[in-house]
Formats: sequence, C-alpha cells, structure tokens
Amino acid sequence: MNLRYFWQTLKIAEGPVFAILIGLIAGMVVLGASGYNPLYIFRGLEYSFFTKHGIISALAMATPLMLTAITWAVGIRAGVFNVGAEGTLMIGAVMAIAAGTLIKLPIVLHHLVVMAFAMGAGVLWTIPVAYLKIKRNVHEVVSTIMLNWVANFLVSFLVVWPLRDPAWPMRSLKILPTARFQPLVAGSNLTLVFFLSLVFALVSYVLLWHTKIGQHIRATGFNPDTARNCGINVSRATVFAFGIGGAAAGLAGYALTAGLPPLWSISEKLGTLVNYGFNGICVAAIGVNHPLGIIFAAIFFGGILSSRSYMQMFLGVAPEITDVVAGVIVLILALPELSKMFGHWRRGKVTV
Amino acid sequence: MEGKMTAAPGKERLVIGLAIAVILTAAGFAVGIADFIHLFILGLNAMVPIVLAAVGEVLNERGGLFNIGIEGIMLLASFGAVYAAELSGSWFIGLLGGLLVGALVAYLFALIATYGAGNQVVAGVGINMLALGLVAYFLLVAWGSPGFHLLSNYEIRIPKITIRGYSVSWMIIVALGITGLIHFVLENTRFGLRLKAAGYNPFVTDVSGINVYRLRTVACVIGGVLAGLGGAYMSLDWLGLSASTLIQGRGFIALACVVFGGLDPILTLEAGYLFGLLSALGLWLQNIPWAAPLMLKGGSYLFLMLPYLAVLAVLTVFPGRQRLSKEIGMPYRRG
Repeated sequence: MNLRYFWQTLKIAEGPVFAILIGLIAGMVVLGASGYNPLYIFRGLEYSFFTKHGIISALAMATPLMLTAITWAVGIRAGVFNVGAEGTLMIGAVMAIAAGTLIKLPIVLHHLVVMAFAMGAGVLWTIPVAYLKIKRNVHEVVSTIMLNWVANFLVSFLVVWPLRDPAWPMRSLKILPTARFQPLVAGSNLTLVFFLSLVFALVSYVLLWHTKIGQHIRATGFNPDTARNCGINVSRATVFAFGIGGAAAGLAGYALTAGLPPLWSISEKLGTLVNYGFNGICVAAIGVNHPLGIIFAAIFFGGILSSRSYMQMFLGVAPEITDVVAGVIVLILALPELSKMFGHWRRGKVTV
Repeated sequence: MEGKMTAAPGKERLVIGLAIAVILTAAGFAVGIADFIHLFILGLNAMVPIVLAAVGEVLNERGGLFNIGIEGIMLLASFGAVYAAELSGSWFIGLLGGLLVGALVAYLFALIATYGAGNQVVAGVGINMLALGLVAYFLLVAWGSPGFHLLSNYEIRIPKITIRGYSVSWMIIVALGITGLIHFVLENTRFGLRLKAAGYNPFVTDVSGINVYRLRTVACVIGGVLAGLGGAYMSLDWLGLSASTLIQGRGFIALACVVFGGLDPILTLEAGYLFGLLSALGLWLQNIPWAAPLMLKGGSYLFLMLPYLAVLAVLTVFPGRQRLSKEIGMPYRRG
C-alpha cells in the first residue's frame, strides 16, 4: 500500500463526485424554477451532516441503502442488471414480519431465525429471474420489474389480511420484542442493524474479491465468452450473483422491519419500504459498484435522504427533490467518459 | 451474428389468439353478452398505452437501442400533458405537450446512448428515477396535491366517441393505425430498412455512408413520441388524472411485449392486447359479486397482480425469441 496506490484509489472518486455536483446543480435548478431558494438543498445537507440528529438519521437511512446497493453492484459485477431489489426487499420484510410474529423463540435465537427467513426469502425470490435469464433468454430488467410489482401487491395483500394488526388497521402485526432491535440513541431509528449491514458489505467484498466464486462472478461480468472458454460455469456464476443480491435485499427488508423502531411493522401502502431499491442503484453507481465504495456512498446518500424530512418540515420543499438529484446522478454516471477516469484502477484490479 | 432476419410469428400468434379467445369466451359464458362486450372494450382501453410504448420500443430496438426509460418517458409525458392542458384549457394542446415531453426526454436518452456511448440500461434506470422524482415534485408544486391530481374539468379530457351506447376512445384507432404504419415503415421504406441495418450491423451500415447515430436518434425520438402519446392517453383520456404512480410498470410490460413479439409490430400489438385485457380483467373481477367476500379481505391486491404474473408466465412458457442482433443495447463507437 504505497502512496501512489492510495492516490489512484482516491482518483476513482472523481467521476462520482462530478456526478454528485451535477445532480445537486440539477436539484438547485429545479428548486429555482419552482420558486424556492436554490440554496435550500445545502441547508438540508447541512442538517444531515453537521447536526447530531441529522448524522444519526443519515446512518439509519444508510443501513438499507448499503444492502440494496450491493444487490445492484453484485449484479453489475456479473454483467446483469438486477433492478429487483425493490421487490425483493418487500418480500424480505414481509417474511421478517411473518417469522417475527408467528414464531416464538428466545431472544438471540429469534433474531437469527427472523434474519434467516428474510434473507432466505430474498434468495428464493430471485430464482425465477435467474431461470428466465439463463433458460428463457428474457432480459432480467423486464422480469425483475414484473416481480417488483407482484411483490408490491402480494405484500400489501399479506399485510391487509393474514398479518393484519387487529389493534391498528392498515398495518401489519409488530415484530415480537424478542426479535426487535432497540434504538441505539433514544428517539432515533438507528439500531445495531447498521453494523450488520456494514458486516454484510465487508463479507460481500471478501466474497467477490477473495474467493473462487467471486472471481468467477467478476470474470463473467468482464467478458462472459472468455469466462466460458476458461471453463467457468457462467450460469452458476450468474445464479450466485442473483442469489447474493437477493440475500442483500432480503436483509434490507429485515433492517426496515426488525430494525425500524418504533414501528417494527409495515403499512398497507408500504410507505417505509418503497424507493430503497431504486435509490440503492444510485448508491451503487456513486460507490463505483464496489462494496467498500458503497459503504461511503450509502452514508452520503443516507444524508441526502435524511435531509428530506428537514427540508419538508422547515423549508416547505417537496421531499421528492432528492429523487430528482438521484436520477440525474445515475444519468451522469451512465456516461463512460467519466468511468474512464477510474477505468485504470478497475482494470488493474480485475486482472488478478 | 446469430438470429433470424425475418420474424416467423406463427406459433406465438396462435397462442395469443387462443388466450384472448379463452378469456373472452369464459367471461361471456360467466356473465352474459353485455359484460362480454364491456370487458372487450376495457381491454382495448388498457391496450392503448402498452401498445403505443411497445411499438415505439420496436423502433428503438430495430435501430439498436434498448430504451428501458420508456416507463419514465410515459410518466413524464402523462404529467406534461395534464400540465399543458390545464394551462391552455385545451386537450389538444395537452396532447401536444405530452408528445413534446416524450420527444425531449427520448432525445436526452438518445444523446447519452449514441454520441455519449453510455450504458443504456443505467441511463434508462436513471430516466425512470428522474421521472418519478420530477412528477412527484411538480405535482406538489403545481397543484399542492401529494401523489395525484384529478383533471379540473371535463373540457380538457379527450372526447370519446360513442358506438351503440359504448363510449370508446378514438385513441384506440390511432394506436392500431400507428402499429400498421410502423410495420409499413419498417418493411417498405428506405428509412425503415436503413434503421434495421443500423440495428443489425452498425459497423457495415456506417461504412456504407449512413449516419448510424442520427438514424438511431431519430428512431429513439419517434419511440419517445409514441411512449409520450401513451402516457398522455393515460392521463388525459383513460384515467383523467396525473399521478406519480400512474404508469405502474406498463412501460416494462411493453418491453415484455417487444421481447415476445420478436420486434414484429403486429405481433407486439397482439401481445399488447392480451396484457391489456388481463389488466382490465384484474380491475373488472373486483366488481364481480362472487368476489365480494374476498374483496373485504384485501383480495383486490391479488387481482392487481394478474397482468404482471401473466407476463412472467408467458415469458416462462414461451421462450423469448432470440434477439435479432447482439448489437441491441450495445453502444456503437465509430472508427
């Protein structure tokens, strides 16, 4: 780890930082065009990064974002576009609710069982996508979006009927206290799950860069034909990439139920779950599809998301302005001229 | 280069025809002829946005672009149409506004995908995210209504024509006509043949003196206009409201139709009617008397899943035809 390597690593951030700047400028233009002070966007960011409440809320928001970003990033590394995090997250969340309310177990065991249910459901939910991709030549974007909508309506149905909370209409049952996470700071919704998702990010880094299957996944994404000629089972690598992504999104669903005080439940309209999947794509793009980059990108983007409520309450700005910023960031990062800046580093890494 | 140049849609056509016939016949026996016609027309209504977007995407993919941003284009156009109509007080201006928005967003996508040689899937995802944010934001700014805005009066809703007591949108005829037109353009005009060449082998096309970038851009903008027309139809005609959740994956159902139709506009139209009919069926079943007890328990959500499950089922049972060219979705670099 010499100085030049460090400098090169820093250089990767050029593209994302440029995209973030353009995204913020676009947000300012939209704010200005609709009659607000364009600088409100920085007031929001000031809240999220320079106040205690804001930082805690940013970290809490970063928890699921990190995981859904890994869903997309692992897909990209394998050469597939897995936009299914949105729906997989919902399935993971509803399975966490089911296991967290219907099964009764002592405290730590219950946590583990609920987590296993959520992640397992996430993995299972990606099987049709992998099947359609490999056997039926169906583009994964189409099948994952269809499954997102199926998941959306299926989970709404489960919340309204089998898992309905008799005391609180339009909401599901609350996860039992034996499987809940308590807030680390009173009044916030930052829980230990944050560290869980950090661990997951690190594990996925090790998995992708320091194991055989990870090597196969990245080789498949780099050039599937070459990988196949080298004797790599491309289908297996693709299935694994979808599976790891499904586990990550399922865990994100777990984070948004068991790790979401004081609700520990989901509503009929799924208000606490929507958009984390798509924002995860933005986070992954900012983090150059690398688990370690994603950790920082998720905390930054968590800050953007936590500024939503501040801007809405104190400045009267519609919170959807952050979706505009995210969309522009993704659009800019789709352009390869910027990715050339960090292309050096990536090429150096891929040829192990 | 693998794949077939000409589509051979015999089996698919039979299957879709059978599926439509079975659904309509079953409904006819179950509820009688009046409801049967009603369901048929509901299916036509639901077909229009899917078919318009899908036929536009056929143009895109024939030219070699893979535009998954059509969902976002439809959403932005549906909002733009309502906004222009509310400002001007005329549905025609509103419709034009929707088309303009569709063209502009598609132009942005085309610039990224052709001259910028960008990643088309990522750019499409970006456009979808941007659309969701912009529409939700401006709904709040323009009318102060979170989530949706109903048209303020009936003057700005596209007028319908009445046939034997059933009010039908003339946009259905427009959609059918455009499908035929695109089919004709692709098979019989210089532009269509050049476009197919650009999609099949951009390198050879470029070397023979045709500007691949411009061709793809034009096709993408036309596709965007068609998707915009679909979006404007949804907001100004069919549903009469603008909402951030208006499109509900119809752009992606359109993509599935294109996959199933193997880039053949007519077969895409048929697939579009099947999925339109299924989504209409999902809404229609909710009013059936025997479904009432289920409705009380949230069964409406189960019926709403119907079109999406149908897309998955159809794609599982019938393999998507081999893409005509591996170039689709790949950036082309000159030189």
